[in-house]
Order: sequence, then C-alpha cells, then structure tokens
Amino acid sequence: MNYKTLIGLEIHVELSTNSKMFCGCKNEFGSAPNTNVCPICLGHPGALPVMNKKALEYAIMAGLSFNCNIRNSFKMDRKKYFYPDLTKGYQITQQDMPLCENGYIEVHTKDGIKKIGLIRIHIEEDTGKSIHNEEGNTLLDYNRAGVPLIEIVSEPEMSNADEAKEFLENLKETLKFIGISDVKMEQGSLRCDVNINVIDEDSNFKTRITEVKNLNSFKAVYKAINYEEKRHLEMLENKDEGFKETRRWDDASNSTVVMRRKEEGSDYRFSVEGDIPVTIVEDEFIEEIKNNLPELPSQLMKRFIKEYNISEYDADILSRNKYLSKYFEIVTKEVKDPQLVSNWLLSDVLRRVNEAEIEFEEIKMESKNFAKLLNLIKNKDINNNTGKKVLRKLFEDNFDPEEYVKEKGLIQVNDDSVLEKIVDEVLANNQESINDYKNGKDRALGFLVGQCMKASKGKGNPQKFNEMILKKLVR
Amino acid sequence: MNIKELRNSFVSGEIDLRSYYTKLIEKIETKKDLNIFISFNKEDIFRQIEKLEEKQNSNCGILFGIPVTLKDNISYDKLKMTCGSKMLENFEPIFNATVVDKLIEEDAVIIGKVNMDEFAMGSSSETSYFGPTKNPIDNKLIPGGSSSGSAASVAADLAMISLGSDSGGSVRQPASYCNIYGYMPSYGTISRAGVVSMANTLDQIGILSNCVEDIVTTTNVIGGNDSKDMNSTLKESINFQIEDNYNFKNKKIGIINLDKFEIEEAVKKDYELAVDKIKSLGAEIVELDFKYLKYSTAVYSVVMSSEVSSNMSRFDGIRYGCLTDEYETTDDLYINTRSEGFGEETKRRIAMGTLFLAAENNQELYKQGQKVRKLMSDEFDAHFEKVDIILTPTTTNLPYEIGSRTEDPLSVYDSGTFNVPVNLCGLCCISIPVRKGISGSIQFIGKRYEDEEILNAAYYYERSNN
Repeated sequence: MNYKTLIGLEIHVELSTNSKMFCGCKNEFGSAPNTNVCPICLGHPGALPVMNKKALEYAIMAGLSFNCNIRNSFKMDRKKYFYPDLTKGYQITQQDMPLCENGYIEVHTKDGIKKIGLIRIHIEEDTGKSIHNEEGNTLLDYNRAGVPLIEIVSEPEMSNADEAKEFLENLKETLKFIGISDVKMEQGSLRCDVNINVIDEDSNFKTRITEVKNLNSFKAVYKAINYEEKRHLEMLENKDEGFKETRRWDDASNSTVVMRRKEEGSDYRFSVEGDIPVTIVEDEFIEEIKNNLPELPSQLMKRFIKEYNISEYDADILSRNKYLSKYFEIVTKEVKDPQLVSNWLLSDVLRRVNEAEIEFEEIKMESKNFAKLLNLIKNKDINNNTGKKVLRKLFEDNFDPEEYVKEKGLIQVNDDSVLEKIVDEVLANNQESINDYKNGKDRALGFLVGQCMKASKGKGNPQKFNEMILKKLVR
Repeated sequence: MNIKELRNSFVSGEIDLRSYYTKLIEKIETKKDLNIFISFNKEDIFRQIEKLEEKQNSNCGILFGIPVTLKDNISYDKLKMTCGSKMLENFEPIFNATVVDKLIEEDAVIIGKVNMDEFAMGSSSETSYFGPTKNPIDNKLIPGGSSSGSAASVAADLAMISLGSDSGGSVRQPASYCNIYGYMPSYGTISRAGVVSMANTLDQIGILSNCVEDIVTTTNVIGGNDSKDMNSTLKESINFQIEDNYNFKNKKIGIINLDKFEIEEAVKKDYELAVDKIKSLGAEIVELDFKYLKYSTAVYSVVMSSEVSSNMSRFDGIRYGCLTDEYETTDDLYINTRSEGFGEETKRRIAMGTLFLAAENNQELYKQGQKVRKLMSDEFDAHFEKVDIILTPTTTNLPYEIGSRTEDPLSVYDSGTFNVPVNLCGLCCISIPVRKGISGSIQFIGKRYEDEEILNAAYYYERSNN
C-alpha cells in the first residue's frame, strides 16, 4: 500500500506584551489569582475593548518572520460560546480576515528542504483558567483572560513526526529570536494542537481527521503523532475511516484518549466585533516593522557560513538558538578561530547544557571566560584534555580560567628539555613497548605517549611527546 | 429657565443650591407614582451639593448645579446600575461611564438613575423589571422607551437634562411621546464607554431636554474623543455653535410621502403642519423617494437582535449579577440564571439573534441584513447630495395606554420605521415636538458628523414655532 500521512499543526502563542490585548492590565505569568484584572477583561457591563498596538505589531512581526502577507485592513470578530473562564460569553478573535496569510516555515528532510505552508496567523485574546481542586470545586483565575495570542495554522503538509518536530522547533526559535513571546510550553505560552490523518495514495481512501489537543511538550507532540499515525494506518488497512474526533495525549498510558467525537463542528455564531472599528494597517507601518526585525535563523545561517567559513551543519545548529548564536559571535570575536569555537560549543558545551536539562540562555559560564579558555587551548597554554577538564568546572562555577590553570599548575609544558627528560625516562622503562613498536605494532606508540602524559601529570604537550618518541624510535 | 440661566443663578447665589435641591427632592417624592427613578439617593445628592458649595466662588463648571438624570444603563459608581433587569437588580458598578465623569467635571448634579425597558429592549417601558414608567402628561399612557425614565424625568420637571441611549429611536420616541426634545448625535460623537451595550453598532448616547440650547450645551460637555471607546470621534472635543442668523432660506429639506407607510392620522397631520411651517419659513421642500426605508424595521430586527445575542452573553451569573440557587452542572447554572434573570422581551431577542447567527443557514439573514444596511446608507448619502436635512415624523403613532399592547409584542417594533435607519446608517437626528401636549413630533435627520446643521435648524424651528 502506498500511503501518505498528513499532519497539520495549530499553535497558540501568548505574546509577551506588557499589558493585555484590550485593557491595561498586566500580562504576567504567575501572579496571585485574579490580581491582574479590571472591568474590561472581566467583561463588566459597559466596559469596551481598546486594542493594544504592541500586540498588533508583534503579530505582524510573526507574520513577516514566517513569510506571510500582511493584510492592509482588518476587522475583529466575536466567537461565541459559554464557558466559565470566558468572561464575555465570546472571545474576540479573527474569523474570515486573519491579519497574516500564506506564509511558510522550512524544515530539513532527507530529500532536502521542504516548505510547510502557513494558512494563517490571526490575533485573539486568551481566556481565563479553570482550576478543578480536589474537593470537586472549580476555581476561576482570570489573570490570563485577555492576554494577547496569535494562532498559527499550518497546511497539513508535514508527513511525519520528525518534520513536525522540526517545524515546531523552527517556529519556537524564530519567535524567541524576534522576542515576541517567551514560548514556554510548560507555562502555556506556546500550545500546540495536532491534526492528523492518513491517505492511501492508490485508492484515495483516507481516514477522518483526528485532532489531538493540549499537548504540553514537544516530546508529547512527537509521541502523539507517532501513536496516531500507527492507529490511523491500522484503520486504513481495515478500510475503516474512523471518526472525526478530538483526543488528548495521556502520558501515563503513552497513548491518546478520546475527548469527544464531533460529527459536525460547534456553532460559534461568529459575528463582527463592532466595538473595534476596521483597522487600517499602513504599508509604512509594516515596512518599519520589517526593518526593525532582527536577523532570523535562516539568514543567520547563511551569514555564518559566509562570514566564518564554518560547515552548513555547524551553522545550522548555531543559528537555531538566539542565545547560542550570539554567544558564538561574541566568543569568536575574542578567539578569532570560528571553527575552534564552533567545535567546542557544539560538542562539549551543548552536551553539558543537555545533561543539565537547561536552556542555553541559562548557562552560568560567561562568554568572556569561555573565550579565555579557548585562547588558552589555541595558544597551547593547556592541552585539549586539560581544556575539557577545565570546561567541566567552568560550566559549573564560572571563573577566570587563566587564573585557574595557573593556580592549579595546569599550564602545558612545552619546554623541549623538560619533555625530552620525561621521554627518555619512559623509554628506558618500557623496553617491551619499544620492541612491539619496532615489530609493527603501532598501538605501542600511543601507549608510550600516554605514559609520558602520565609522567608529566597531564601537562606535557602530547604532540611534542609524539614527535620526540617517533624520532627516537626510528624503525 | 435653561441651563445657562439656572447655572448663573446658582453661581451668583441668586438661587440657593441647597434649597433648590431640597425642593426638587420634595417634588420627586410627590411624583413617585410615575415610577421614574430606579435608584435615587438623597445623601449622594447632598454630598455632591456640598462639593459644589465649596467651589461656588472659584471655578464653576458649565453645568454647575444642573440636575441630570441617567438612564440606568449608564455607569455611575455611586448608584446601582440595573439596566431595568432582575439580572442586575443589585449590581453596583465600580467605574463611571466617560459621560458621567465629564458631567461631574463640569459640576452637574446627578440626581438618580431612571427607569428603562430591560437592557434598552422595548419602546414602552413595559419590559422593565421595575414596572412601567408613566407618561407625566397623562399617566394612563406609556412614556415611550426604552429611555422612558429619562424622558419622563425631564417632562415632569425633575431634571433639566437626562442622558438616554438610542439604538433605534430609544431617545427620540420617548421624547416625542413626552413632548420634549431628544437628540441622538452621529455615531461616535459621544463615548459609549461605561454604557451597557444593547446593539453596539447602533447604540448612541442621546440627550433629552426641554430646549435645543440645553442639548447643545450638554453635547459640548460630554462629546469628543475618548481613548476608552475605539469608535469615538477623533475630535478632541465638541464645540457646536448656535448661529443666531441661521434660517431656512437657501436650505433644502427633504420630506417623504407618508402614504406608503402605516401611520396614525394624528401623526400625519402634525407632520404636514410642520412641513407647512418650514415651507413658510423659506425652506425649499424636496420630496424624496426611499427605496429601502420600508425594510428598516426588518433590517433593524436582524442587526439588533444578532448583536443583542452576543452582548447579553456576558450575563451568565458567574462574576456578578443574578445567580440561580438551583444548579448541578455548569450548563444548568447558565440556563437557570438566564431564565430567571432575563425578561421575556430580552429572551425573545436573544433567541432571534442566536437564530440569525447560527451557521445552519450560513447566517443568511445576518449577512443579508448587513447588505441592506449598506444599501440604506448609500441611499441616504445619495439623498444628502440633494438636500441639507431630511424631515420625517419621529414615530408612526401617538402613545397608547399602558398594558394595551402587551399581547402583541411584535406590533410595537414598527413604530420605529423612521427612527431606526438613522442608527443603521450612523447619522445624526433630533426629535422636535410639533405642538404642546400629546402630539406628533418631527425629526431632523442630518449627515454623519453634520450635527451642527440639524441643531441649528432645530433651534431656529423651535424659536419660530413658539
């Protein structure tokens, strides 16, 4: 059977404006419940919404970063439903005239770069939060009610979990780059729903779309897609089109669970939000925002390759994270060896970041100290091994590595006479290895260098040891 | 006495504020049976008087000491705001409407919140949870609505001006029934911030008064841009001028042929009387043909009730207002609260609007309504190419007896035939009595933002008619 998986994502992103979408209340995560509220966001009678210009600007920034067309005039709409955390009985959103349309995000696949289309990005307000406590009561916190959101809707053009993961990573990093959201999934500032179904390309038979809602980590998105893909394939094999349904990911059972089946969509009885007049977005305004946009990952990558002559692979990874790319550039300026900086950052430093389960921006090691360390290595003041050991400590405690290596006596010994003495001593004590080497066992050389390093307490210059031994052991 | 005269008497000390208000309060007590006030608080009045007394000799505001009543859908943080509904029977708002702040800024005295049809839905005051207001001219009759208490408070001389809200004639029709002046400015001239929305693209704050000059004075105080209302005019402030040498010579006034409409004979006669009068004052009368006017109540019903259905949805009992005692699920909570809290007319309009907005028929009527609304607006624009002012009767009938039409709720919608197009198209309008007593009124309709024209015309007509 020739089949294809169709995956589309809907992503809600909270914008990190200072105030809410339609009122002056603070937009802040973690405040005491119901402290950032006013008549407007509580939907008191007579209160009218007033648009936050910054939120509009942020939404346009997102649209431009994802290659969208920006609408020159837009209206807002009311989406109606009753829910305790919805204060007005309707959510102010955009129905048929989204602010941004027809964009794309690039992902790498084994067949090269693939453009995943974005249908739309529109602006709307967030709702409050219902908290269900153990006594069975529902408590309501309206701090989040009215927080500005953008909703990003992709075309169903991703074909597997890896593409979806890369799409999300790219999206997240870009939003972080342009600084319009803190994109923290665990705090709900980035929320993702997955739409998935599969199609038999020979017969055109397809399963009905499943929507997996409220995924709260990239891992969950990844797992849910794989789970659903498998489930849908089984359905496809049985020629069972299934139900159009909403499911959620259940971490405990590692599976998705049905929330509700919908034969038809809910009727939100959309109507125009007349309290907000049609807003004109001037070309100059869009142009100004465009000019103030920071360099985006894809642009950075190209520049890194050109400017620093590093590999595409390295440039790609370095450019994906705003803080990592900045760090790289700052350190490179001091060290003046981009490849060395990149090697150390991408292997040793990122490994430590992953092990510590932190974000790159949270590292303690200051760029100036890291640069000093790399310069010590570059100038052969310490050898690579020592460098790795120092890095491990530096990553934890952030100190001045120059002082540290002096204090600890880790400076590499490059003095030929000192080194030669050690070599002579080692050779004198290892006749067997010398014989081995002469009999063609190359491994013996490594052993002898190792012995020299040991004898020098790790401070000897290993290259020099190598050269000296070779010279003395001419076969 | 008008606003300027009364203000000056207070400022000069010729009339003592405290004794004026003591007498006014007595008068209000004696007219209690008219059921005009929903919230009335003597202490609050005297608290305001005290404040005014302190500044009597320094900077006295434009409305210094002027008694004002507010329709009970306008937020004033010292009194309840019920909107004439059980839903908000005990609701105490926590902020002032912008118009209220502006009134207070100019030293007006807010004497109370007055009766209205529930959430401004109705045209007789009979949908008020607090019972109908009575017409001060003849207390068997309805005073009109929904701004019934506003009109009655002015007509009964209990306030010099009153603020009402007008979404389809709710200021002009009661002004007509109570034989006073009712002005609805162009959409956006006066901020709606703090006014409870009924149909938000139609709602406007209007002013009821005994004379045109007071309306102009008040508009200049409460009008202008408000950062809290995105639909408010961009003009920082309103400064309408009455021109003493305004007259009807060189003016073209458009009239309509009433034969096409179902309209009471007395109203028709008064309209003709007014047309003759205006003609005699030198205006050129131009008969206009309206293609879409006859659809006005139908379009209005669709647009209005659709907006009502969303504007009323915030009244769910969860954060404020009426909350049912009996519920087990959240759905029960909503259904029971709204069943108990809303009156019949409000429920009827919510139900209609919900139907119009339902996806089932692709929102056919809602979309159609918006289209015809645009056509009507274009038609008015075209007519205003030819005339300066359009003149129609304010209503199609005279006030009827309280309780006589409650059986047929839909029949009362049609009285707004000439009112509602003005709201649908965002135009400005003023209703002017033709004769003293229960009589027909006329309305001058003007182009959007050309309020000065109709106010001057009304002022000129008022003087010539007296």
